[in-house]
Parts: sequence; C-alpha cells; structure tokens
Amino acid sequence: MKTISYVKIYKNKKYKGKFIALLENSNQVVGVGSTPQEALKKAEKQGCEDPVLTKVPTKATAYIL
Amino acid sequence: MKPLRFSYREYPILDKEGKITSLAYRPVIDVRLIFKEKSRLFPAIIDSGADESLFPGWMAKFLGHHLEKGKKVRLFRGIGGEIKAYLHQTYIEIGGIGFRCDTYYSDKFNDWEYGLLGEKTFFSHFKIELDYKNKLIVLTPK
Repeated sequence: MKTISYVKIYKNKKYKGKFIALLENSNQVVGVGSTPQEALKKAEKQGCEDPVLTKVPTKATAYIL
Repeated sequence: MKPLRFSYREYPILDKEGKITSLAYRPVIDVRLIFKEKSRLFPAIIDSGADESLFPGWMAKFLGHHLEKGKKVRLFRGIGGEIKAYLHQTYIEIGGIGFRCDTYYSDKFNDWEYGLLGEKTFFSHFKIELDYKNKLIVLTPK
C-alpha cells in the first residue's frame, strides 16, 4: 500500500495556512479557501460533494505528542 | 468484521525558508465526525500517547457545536504546555463502523491539520496495528 504524500501541498505557498478540501484517502486538492466553507464550495464546483476537510498549517514542524 | 487497512501519510518538515529538512510518516486516517444533521470527513492521527480524542476548535464550530458551551472544560498537558479544551459528544465513523465518542475540541489546536484519536475513546473500538516499517495501519473492529 503506497503512502499518501503531502509534500507537494505543503511546499506550495498558496496553500499555507489555508483550508483545503481533498478527495478521501488521497492528496488530490479539490478546493482551497480562507474558510472551510470556501474550500468546500470550490470542491462542490468540481463535482466533489463529500471531500475531506483540513487545514495546511502555517508551520510544518516535527511533533512530539 | 474485516480489518480496515490504511497507509501511513508522508508530511514534510520545513525550515523557516520552506525547505524540507526531513520527512515524517504518521498514522493518519480520514474519519467522519457527525453532529446532528452535519457530518464531515476530517483527518486524524492515531495517538497512543493521548488519553482522550482531541480536535481543532474550528472543526467543532464547523459541525455546529458551540465550542465554549461544551459539557466539560478540561486542561490537557502535553510537551508544549497546557491547553483548555471543551467536551462535545460526537459520533465518529471509520470505514462504516460508527460509535459515539467523548471528543474534546480546542482553539489552541486550530493550526493543526488533523485531530488526535486517543486511548480512552478510540482504542477501545479496534485492535490497532501500526506497522511503521511497511507504513501500514490495520484496524480490526472489536
């Protein structure tokens, strides 16, 4: 099973700090916006009714939880 | 029931200039959070170091919870210090398996890309295998 990589998304400055809509279990962006609603609206326009909603963090650091 | 299989996800660790310093592989899966008529898929990390399940405050607001009107306010302590979080009952669904779950939400988590699935609420529903070498997650419903 191949890992899902978010490298391209995190490296792309247009996504930094933004809400993004993704296809489930994928790294395919179908919507982006300053609010969750804006990202979902763009996803809907692309025909994606039920995407995953997340946010690209402003700092991509290592975590110790 | 059949085990659910997922792959690990690859996240870059970036320096201040945006250059990749290393890659992190994390056991993150997409879960559906449901509250009343609203539901949405969000990513969440399987975190055996967390006692409770905790999600960013913006997710609570998106689902229609009034964040600060949570049933209980609790302080959580981690390596980064203490955070205040609010308890809201949320229905969680993964691969067609759903359960009601005490879920905490905090605005201190708003810059995070995923929630935390903790021991008390999530681990009691699945036998969990995290195979880092093969980057594979196997959840077997109990």
